Amino acid sequence: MFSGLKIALVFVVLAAAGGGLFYVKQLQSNLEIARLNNAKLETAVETSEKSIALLKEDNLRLNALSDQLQADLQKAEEYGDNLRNRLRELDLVQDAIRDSKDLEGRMNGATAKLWRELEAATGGDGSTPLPNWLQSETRSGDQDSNTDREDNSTDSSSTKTN
Amino acid sequence: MKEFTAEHGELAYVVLSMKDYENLAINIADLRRYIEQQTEIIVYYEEAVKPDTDSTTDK
Repeated sequence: MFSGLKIALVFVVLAAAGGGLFYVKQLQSNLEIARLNNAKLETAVETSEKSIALLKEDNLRLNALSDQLQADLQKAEEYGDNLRNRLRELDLVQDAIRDSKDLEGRMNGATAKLWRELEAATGGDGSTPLPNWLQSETRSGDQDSNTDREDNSTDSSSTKTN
Repeated sequence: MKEFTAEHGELAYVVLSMKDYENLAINIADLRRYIEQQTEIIVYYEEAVKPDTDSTTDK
């Protein structure tokens, strides 16, 4: 009877040892999986942090670009605003009656300048030479009324006639 | 006038009232504004989608 009990006891001990060994192996396996998962998560966190840093950087860059765009869009309105103010201040009918030649020169000069600037704004170099008839278009008005005239070529004092 | 006809041939006059001239000038100014603003917007998008060489090399 005792020998049967002993055998049963040995079986129980062996089973407990086997179970323990299995449990430890299982734990080791789980631990290894957890380690691998942890490494993956660390990589994921690192990638996420890099992405966030990149997004922040992009956000700053786009904000700066946006500000620049707003300033440029505002700047593009300047010409029209200035023109409207000028036209409000001037009385072109009176100017024409007072000194038509002067007004003609100013109009031609301003138009030539505007066309050149439009040419430059659409990809050209804006250096189209003025037509001969405009270069030789002289005026007899006073120099002070020369503000709308093109700076470099429509002033009769500085242009050449052919 | 002689030089104008020499360059362009026939001479023709187009008459505008001062108000119409002002409107024409303002409309041309609006066109110019539109062209310039579109150009700026295109430049903005070109800059915005341009890859950042410093950060892409870090990846």
